[in-house]
Amino acid sequence: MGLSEFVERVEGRRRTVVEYSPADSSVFSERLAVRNADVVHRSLPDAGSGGFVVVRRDGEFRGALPLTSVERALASPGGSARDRDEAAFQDFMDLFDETVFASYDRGRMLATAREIEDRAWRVGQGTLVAGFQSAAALGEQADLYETLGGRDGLDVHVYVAADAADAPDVDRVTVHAEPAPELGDFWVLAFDAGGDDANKCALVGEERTDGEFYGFWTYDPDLVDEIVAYLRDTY
Amino acid sequence: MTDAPADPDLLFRALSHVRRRYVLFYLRDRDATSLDELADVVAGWTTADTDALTTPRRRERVLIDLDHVHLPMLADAGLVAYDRDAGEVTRREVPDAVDRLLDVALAVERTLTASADTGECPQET
Repeated sequence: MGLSEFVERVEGRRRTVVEYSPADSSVFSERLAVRNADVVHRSLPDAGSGGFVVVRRDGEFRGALPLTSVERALASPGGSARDRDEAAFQDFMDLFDETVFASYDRGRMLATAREIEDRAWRVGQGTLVAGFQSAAALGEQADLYETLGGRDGLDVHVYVAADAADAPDVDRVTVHAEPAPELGDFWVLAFDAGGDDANKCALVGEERTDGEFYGFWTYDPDLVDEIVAYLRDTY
Repeated sequence: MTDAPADPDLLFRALSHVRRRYVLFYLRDRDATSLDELADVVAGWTTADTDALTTPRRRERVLIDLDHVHLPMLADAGLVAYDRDAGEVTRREVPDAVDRLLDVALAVERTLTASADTGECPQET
């Protein structure tokens, strides 16, 4: 068992996205191609109400959304929550509760991580676990994590790929220092929202080449719980 | 082919419900489909002009409604053939006048839907 097995498992879950629209072809095939979804287009006569997308996972209907909502939700993928239509994004997340990415750079990873950290702060209860690939990486985020740890009801644990002697102390945060290769290779972050399924989220990315991450982010509550438990039990 | 009966009462009644109309509209672009697909299409399409997420529960209700009410009515009107065991729905050939009526119905739907802001289906979750 390891973090790479979480990545393999999520990669194996395929979604089918069927776009029904009066257009000749799908507007999403390219944009969703990097995600773990197969996009199919089926034509509709124009009845005035616009197109819609149907999402199925393992053959089961998961939901349908108007095309316009999906477009608004995708307006700023991985970007700041402030730029986005929050209601459309929530609906979108109900359908695409996880996304596999093939090459996120540090900026993109950081933006996704910020979203999880912001959520932990807003919810203000539960456990936030975060991996740091080096003592220096934790040092750079120490202020932020100290702030998060100071929030009543938020239990913050960080896992740093370093010897205990090299790991910085962070007030109000439990620092677990382990010179484990996995912690050095993966960027991992998970928030269990104290049992509130709607707010659980996690990010797991493996740095396969320097500065390029391969992995997923997820809002699947069971998967988030497993990632939190894995880190807590292993390190 | 003009083998299908075209009782005007049955025909116009067939057009009097949004779910039946959207089944007929979807079959303008293809010869056959399945109950499963029609449930996706009718549930998604009738909420496409709202911001609503169509849940599995709502889609299931649409499926039951199509299976028990709307597809049998469309079959009685001679507009589709419905093989309930196989879950297959096939468009039937209709007289030219009926074919033109369906085109006009689609055009009317497009015009009225585009000018109205309210969805035809109440929001269900």
